[in-house]
Amino acid sequence: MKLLTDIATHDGANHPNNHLSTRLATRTKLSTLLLAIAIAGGMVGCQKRGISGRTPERIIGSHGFGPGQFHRPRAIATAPDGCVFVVDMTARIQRFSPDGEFEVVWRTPESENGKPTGITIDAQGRVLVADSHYHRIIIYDRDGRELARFGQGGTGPGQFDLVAKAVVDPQGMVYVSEYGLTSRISRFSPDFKFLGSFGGPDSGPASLSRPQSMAFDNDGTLWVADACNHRICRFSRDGKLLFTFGGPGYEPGRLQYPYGLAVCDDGTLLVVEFGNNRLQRFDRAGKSLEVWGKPGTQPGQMLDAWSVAVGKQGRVYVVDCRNHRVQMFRM
Amino acid sequence: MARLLVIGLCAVGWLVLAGGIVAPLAGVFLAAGQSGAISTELVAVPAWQVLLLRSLVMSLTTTVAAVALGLLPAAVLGSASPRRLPTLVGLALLPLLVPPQVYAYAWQLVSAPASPLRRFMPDNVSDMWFGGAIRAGLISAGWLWPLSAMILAAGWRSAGRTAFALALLDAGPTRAYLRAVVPSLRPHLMAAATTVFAVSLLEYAIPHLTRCRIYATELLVLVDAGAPAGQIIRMAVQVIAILMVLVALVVWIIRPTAHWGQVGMDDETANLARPGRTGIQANTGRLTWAGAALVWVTTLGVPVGIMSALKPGSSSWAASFSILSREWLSSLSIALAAGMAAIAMASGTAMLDAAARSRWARTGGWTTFLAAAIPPAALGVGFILIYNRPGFVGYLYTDTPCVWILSLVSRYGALAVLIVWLTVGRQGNAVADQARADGAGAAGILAHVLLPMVWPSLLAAGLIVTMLAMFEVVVTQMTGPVGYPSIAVTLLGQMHYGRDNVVITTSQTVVVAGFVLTQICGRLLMAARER
Repeated sequence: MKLLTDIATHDGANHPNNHLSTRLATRTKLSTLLLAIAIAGGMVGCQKRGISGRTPERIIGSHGFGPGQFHRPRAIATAPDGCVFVVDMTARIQRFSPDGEFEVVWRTPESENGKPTGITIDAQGRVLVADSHYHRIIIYDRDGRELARFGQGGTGPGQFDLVAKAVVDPQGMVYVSEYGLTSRISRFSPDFKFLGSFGGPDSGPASLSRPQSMAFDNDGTLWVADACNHRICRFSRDGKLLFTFGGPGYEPGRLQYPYGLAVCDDGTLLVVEFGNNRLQRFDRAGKSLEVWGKPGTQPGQMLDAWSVAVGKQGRVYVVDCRNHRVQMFRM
Repeated sequence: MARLLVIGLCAVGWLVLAGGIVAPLAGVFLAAGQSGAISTELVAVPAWQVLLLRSLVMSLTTTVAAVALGLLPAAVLGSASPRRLPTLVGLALLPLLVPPQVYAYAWQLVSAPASPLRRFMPDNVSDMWFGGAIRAGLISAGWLWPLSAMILAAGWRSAGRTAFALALLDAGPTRAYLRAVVPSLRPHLMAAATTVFAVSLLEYAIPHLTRCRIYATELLVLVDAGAPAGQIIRMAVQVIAILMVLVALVVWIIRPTAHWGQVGMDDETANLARPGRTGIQANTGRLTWAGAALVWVTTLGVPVGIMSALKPGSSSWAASFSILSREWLSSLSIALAAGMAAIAMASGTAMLDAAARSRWARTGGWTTFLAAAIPPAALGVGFILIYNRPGFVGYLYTDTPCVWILSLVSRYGALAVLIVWLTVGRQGNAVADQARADGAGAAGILAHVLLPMVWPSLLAAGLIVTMLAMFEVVVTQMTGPVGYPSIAVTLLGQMHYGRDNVVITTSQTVVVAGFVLTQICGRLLMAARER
C-alpha cells in the first residue's frame, strides 16, 4: 500500500515505478495483439467449413404451428405408397403427399415430459411412433387413429428407458432401440411379447451407444446408426454384429453423430449426420460415395440434420431440424 | 503510453456497456410492450402456478443445501494463512467454474447401467418429487456452494472467527458455533442465500438436463417456439418479481448487526482468533478442514470420479478433440473476446469510478448488475429486438459473432465489475483521492495508480468471465450466428442422451483445464489483494 501512496503523491513522470507501468503496458499491448490474432484466427477458421452442396428439389414446411408447418422436426418416414410422415417438437405427426402437400395432422396423447424422436411405417402402412419420454411405442393407422401401444419404463428385460425408434422386419417382429440409461435394441413378437435384446453395455464390440436409428436392408439384416460411437453397425436379425464402418471425424467416410439412416432401392445407404450437418451415401462395404450439405440456412444447407427417408422415384427427404423444414432431394 | 492504453480500454468499455448492457435492456423494455402470445399448450409449457412452485422448491433446495455446504469451507477460507489462501481460493473457485451441465450429466450417469453407483440410485430419476425440483436443487447446490462459502468467508474473517474464539472460552465448539458464529454471520448468511437463490433461479442447464421444468427452462422453450417477445418478457417479469420480493425481504430481515462487526476489530479479541491457541481450537480446526475437504470431494470429486469410473477409453480423448475441434476453437475465441470485453467494461466503470469519482461510471457499473439479474432468455430477446434489423446492425447480428460476444458480456460482465470494485475497495479509493488532491488527472490516476494496483484482478476477472462464457448456453443459442459452433451447446445437446464417451472426456478436460485456470485466478486475486 505504501508503494501506491508513493506513486499517488508524486508526479508520475519521473517515478521509477513508471518504468514498471511502461513495461506492463508494453507486455499488455503485445499480449493483446497476440490474443486478438488468435481470436480473429479462431473466428475466421470457424467459418471455413462445409464440403459440398446439392440443391433440394423442394423445401417442405416452414417454422410454425399450423398445418404443414414445423417446430423442430426430428423424425421422418415414408409409407409404401410414398406418403411422408414427420414428427416435430410439438409432438405432432403430420402426413404429406410424396410431393410435400400437407394432408393430415395429429398429436401424441401426452408430451410434457418430452417429444417423440422416431417414426416408422411398416409394410402394412401402420405408423409406429417412438414416444421416447413415455417409454412406449404407439401404433397408429395412417390417419392418426391409435391401434395399439406397448412398453413400460425401466431397464429390465422388455422395458424401455428412452425409446429412439422402432422398426418391423418382414416377419412382423418389432425391433425397438433405446437410449439414456440403456443403449440396446430389444426384439418383440408381432403381438409385442419380449423375445430378447442385444447391443447392451456388456456386448463388447457390439455395445451400442445411443442407437438412434435403424433400417432393414433388402437382405433382412439390420443397419443401426450407433450415434455416440459415430459409426454404422450391421446386425443379423438375431443380434449378431456383422460389420461396422465410420468412426469419428469430418472427412468423407467418417461420421459425427449419425442420427438417421435409410436404405435406397439400389442397396446403398444414406446416413445423415447431426454433428457434421450433412448427408453421406455409402455403398454396402461402407465406402463413402457422395456427401451432400453443409451447415447453414440456405436450401441444400442444414442445421442439426436429424433424420432421412427414401421415397418413391428417387426422392430423398432430409429433416433439417433447426431450420424447421424438410428438404426433398432427388437421387 | 500507459495513459493511452487506459483511455482506450475505458472507451472500449463504454462501447461494450452501450452495446452489451444498455441496448439489450432497452430492448427488454421495448419487448415488454409487445402484445400477442402463442398457445403454451402447443409447446407443453406448464401453468404458471406449476412453474412458480417448482422454481421455488428448486431454488430453496439449492439455497439451503449450498449455504449448509459452504459453512465449513467458509471457515477454512476465512482463517487460512496468506500462504495457503491463493491455492484455497483456486480450489473454491473450481467447482463454481466447472460448467453446471457437467454436474447434471455426471449425476445422471450415476444411474446408468454400467455405473458403479447404480445400485444406490433409482433407475428412473425423472419422476421424483415436484417434477425433479429437489434433485435439480441438490445438484445445483453441489455447483453453487463455493459462492456461499466465499461470501461467508468474508464474514468469518471479519467477525465469525473472533466470535468463535471468544465463545470457546465459555462453551463447547458446537454450542459456540451455533450461539456465537451463526448470529455473527447473519448478514453474510443472508447475502449468500440471496445470491445462491438468484443464480439458481436464473440458471438453465441443470434443470434442463434433469428434466425439471421451471421458469428458466420454459423461457427458452418459448423463445425456441418463436413466441412473441412480449409473452417471453411477461414470463420473465414473474422471475424478476420473485427476486425483488426476495431482496426486499432480506433487507427487511437484516437489521444492523454492527455489534458483531466490531468483535474482530480490537487487537485483544483479534488475537484470540489466531489459529492454534488451544487444544479445542486445534481439534476444531482439523475437523473443519476435514469437513471442507469432504464437501469439495463429494460435490466435485464424486462427479469426476463417476465419469472416470466409466472408463471412456483413450480413443475417446482423441475423438473429443478431433470431432469437436471446430467447437473448441470457436468457443474459445468467442469466450476470450468476451473476457477481454469484460475487462474493458470493468475498467470503464469500476476503475473509472474510483479514478474520477464519476457518477456515470458508477451508474454504468450498477447497470451491469441489472443485466445480470434478468433471466438470460429475456436478455437474449432484448438483444434480438435491438440487433435483428436490416442494415449494418443486422449484419453484425447474423454474420458476425459481435452480438454473441456482447450478450456473453451482459451475462457475466457484472462479475468483472464486482471483482474490480472489491479490489479497489476503500484503500484504492483513498489513494486515488489523494492522487487527485495532488493534482493528478483521471487518466493519470487510472494509468499510474489504479492499473498497477488492480491489473491482477482485472486479469483474473477476464479469466473467470472467459471460463463462464465458454459454457454459457442460453444467450449463446439465441445470438450465436451460423458458422460459429459452440462447445457448450453441442455438449448440452448430447448430454441428454445418456452415456457418450466424447462428452465424458470433454467434461473431464474442462475440469482439468479449470483446475489450472482457477489456480491462476486464485493467485492473481490474492496478488491484487496484497498490492
